[in-house]
Amino acid sequence: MYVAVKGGEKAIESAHALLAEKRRGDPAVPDLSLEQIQEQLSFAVDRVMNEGSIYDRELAALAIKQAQGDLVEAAFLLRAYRTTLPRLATTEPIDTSSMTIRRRISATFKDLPGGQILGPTFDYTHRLLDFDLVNDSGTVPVNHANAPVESAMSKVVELLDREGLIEKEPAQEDGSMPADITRQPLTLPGERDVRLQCLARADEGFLLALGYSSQRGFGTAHPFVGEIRMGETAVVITPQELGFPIEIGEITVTECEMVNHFKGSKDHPPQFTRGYGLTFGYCERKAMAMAVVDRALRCRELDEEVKAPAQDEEFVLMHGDNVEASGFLQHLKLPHHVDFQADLVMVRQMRAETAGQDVGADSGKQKP
Amino acid sequence: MAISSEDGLLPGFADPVQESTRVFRVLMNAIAHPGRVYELSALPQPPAPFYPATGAICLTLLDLDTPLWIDPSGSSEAILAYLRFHCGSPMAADPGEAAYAILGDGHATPELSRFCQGDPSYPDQSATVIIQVESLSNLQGTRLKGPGIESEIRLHATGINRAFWTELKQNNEQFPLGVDVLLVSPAAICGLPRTVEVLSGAGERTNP
Amino acid sequence: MSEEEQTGTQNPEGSEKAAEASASNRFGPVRGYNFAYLDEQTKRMIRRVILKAIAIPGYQVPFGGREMPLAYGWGTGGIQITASIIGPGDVLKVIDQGSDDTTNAVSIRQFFRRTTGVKTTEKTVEATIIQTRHRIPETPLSADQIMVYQVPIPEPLRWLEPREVETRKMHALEEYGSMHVKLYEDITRHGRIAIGWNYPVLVNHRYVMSPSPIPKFDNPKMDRSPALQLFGAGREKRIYAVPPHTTVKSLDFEDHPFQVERWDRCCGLCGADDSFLDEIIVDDQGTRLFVCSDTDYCSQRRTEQAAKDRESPESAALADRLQEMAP
Repeated sequence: MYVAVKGGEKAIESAHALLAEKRRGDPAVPDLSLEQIQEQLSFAVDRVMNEGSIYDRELAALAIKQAQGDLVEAAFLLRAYRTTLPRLATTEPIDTSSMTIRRRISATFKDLPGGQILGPTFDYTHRLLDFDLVNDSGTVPVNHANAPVESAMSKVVELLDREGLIEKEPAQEDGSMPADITRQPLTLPGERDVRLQCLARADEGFLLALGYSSQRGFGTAHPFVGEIRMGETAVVITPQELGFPIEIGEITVTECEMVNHFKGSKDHPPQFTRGYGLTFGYCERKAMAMAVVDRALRCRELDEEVKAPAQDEEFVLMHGDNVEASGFLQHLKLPHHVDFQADLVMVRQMRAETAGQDVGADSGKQKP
Repeated sequence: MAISSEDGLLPGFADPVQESTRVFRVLMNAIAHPGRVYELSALPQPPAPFYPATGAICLTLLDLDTPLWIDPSGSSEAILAYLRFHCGSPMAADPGEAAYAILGDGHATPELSRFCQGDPSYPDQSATVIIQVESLSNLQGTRLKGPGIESEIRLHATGINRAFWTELKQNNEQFPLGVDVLLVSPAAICGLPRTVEVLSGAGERTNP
Repeated sequence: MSEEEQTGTQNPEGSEKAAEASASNRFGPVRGYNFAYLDEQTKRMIRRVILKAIAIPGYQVPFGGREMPLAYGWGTGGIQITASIIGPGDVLKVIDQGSDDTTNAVSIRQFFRRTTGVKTTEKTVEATIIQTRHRIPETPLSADQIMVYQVPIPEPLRWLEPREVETRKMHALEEYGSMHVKLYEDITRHGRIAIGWNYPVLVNHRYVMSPSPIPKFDNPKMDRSPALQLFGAGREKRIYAVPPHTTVKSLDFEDHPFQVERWDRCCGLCGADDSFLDEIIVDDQGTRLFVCSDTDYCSQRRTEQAAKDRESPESAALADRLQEMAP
């Protein structure tokens, strides 16, 4: 005789225990430390900080450890933690022009003041698996330069701007605060502050695909990397009690400024247009993709026809958040048997009615 | 009870988490059951001219994100200091910019149309107007019906401007636009959202 | 706080009932988090939205939804509403597909136990707040109860028009023509409106609303219910509401009026012929058993029947058989 299944709570407990066992893996293998993750899986840490929307490398490392390397799950952990944190202050805008530069390149000019600083990059590596890394390869000898790179390196876009060749960054005239997508619901159409915030936390893979599509013809013409710079910038707040700004720390960021197809009209001589990307840590691919998609989404203000997915504001902004996307996709695993039953009842009824009609119309014929 | 502004800052909720939950549930009931008078007691005393229930509504609902406008009859230095400290809500320069408005004396013409009425795509953005009256009773008064009211309810408010019911009717005719109203007496509150249908003749005189 | 409470672990030997009985002791508020998890500013924001939602029945109010420890799509909207309204005196029931024991209902109920210490129940009549996914209980609700529905896609027009900018305008202008056309197309194609769940309704004669993916069987329960009904979509960041005693009319046509599902059999456990039935496949030959989706309703009926049958010696044998079937 059928006995209704109970004990969901026990099943969940067991699932949690199995997951914890899987997380630890073979007990003979040393437990992964947060320092190891921060030091040796730094790109994973940086990605999780961006999609989790918190700059904290140690927390990101913990999330990666708990999520067993599933970076989307790790970003979710950080976001949920972020919800519980009180907002203490709002910083001044960070000043990337005074960045302590560790990498700085431009594709628009062969050379420029300050030079092309490659920094640590995969760009010119040959993608050959290095079996020396199977065991601890020890420290790598590096010949550090005698003097550090220049600190105030002018920005390429500023150089273009001096000649009037590139559009001015449309500033917020009324000095109002930017919107905050983490506190207000997204309303469309969104202004650039809203769009950039959505892109900053969007899934890197999603932005990569959109940027790629834009380059391949589903969007505007060829962008140029005006500048990519990566390094440390100061975080500054101006507490009300003090009335003057103080530096409370520094963060690593990657900034990408794309220089795009020029626009002009009868009244305005042509100028290059901008696309902007900014990420926590050293997240270059994401910063570049963000800049390409930012430019694509500016079609409305630049009077361009919306022809491609990367230009479709609602499509891009509503589907970029991988915490939302993952949750909704995976919710399909939840029981849906009531709705399925409602459909079953309806389909069976409709089929029975059709069958009844067939029999009535031609009762001699056998039903297939 | 007159409290002079020289007194120290009066306290808000003793247990903000639990008390704001309690007060919110009463507010939610009041909007869900329009016209029904709900007692609200055991509340901290705010500075004059606020009633305890008015103060409790502010402590429960207001913060940095809710521009507030108070008419002269409802305002005082002590009130502004109290709200600045406990709620931090920005004071709206103009009634039309307020998310919440407080009218300290129900005898004054409410002029509900001066507050934000909402937008057809976002009718929720309209203001909530809190009006202090002398007393509230369901034993007699204006007949009301609509969502939240099983058949009909009677609401008698004293210390309220005679134009109030006409204005409310006009406000509610704009549904889904229009403000939502909370009437507050020294010991009770009553919700009149924009869904309420005023059945009695507009401007019907009720004996004070 | 005991070690058990700190780690949130459960006594593996204890039964669910024992766990619930001492719930407020063993699952007191988790250290370090606010009552009901959300910070007060978030609660205030959601509370303000709830009040506006009740004032505009059926209209979707945008809100600044937060990430919760449970995934988007798994009830975060309902959870944020419950977290914003729940107080220590409440009694909470959480169901999914009509049952208290489905895994996600268990998970959500545990979340609230851990973050509030509030008493929980499986009995509909005891609950002051009922959070639900995809069903309305069979037991009629009362005026002091609040239903909180989990909603995946709050926009009833979404399948006709993917753009939020457009659907918001349609609601503003009361332009529901495309919905009526779609329903009529169903009739021409299938001879009926072929929507089995998430069947659109007109609320207070003004807004077309999604009732959430409840089966259309449950739609009539929403009409003029004495309970307050709140709807939360966390991922889409919308809250909407239906006040008590408000008209909720399932869309239809005069010549094709709205109809609910019927089965040609009763519940195999309690004999109910008026409840929504789950279909359970019991063997490889495809033998089917139909049982009440609402596990509380079914178990109440079986308890009442058992009591009645004990009083009548003639049906003692039948009572024994029914008791065998009960878990």
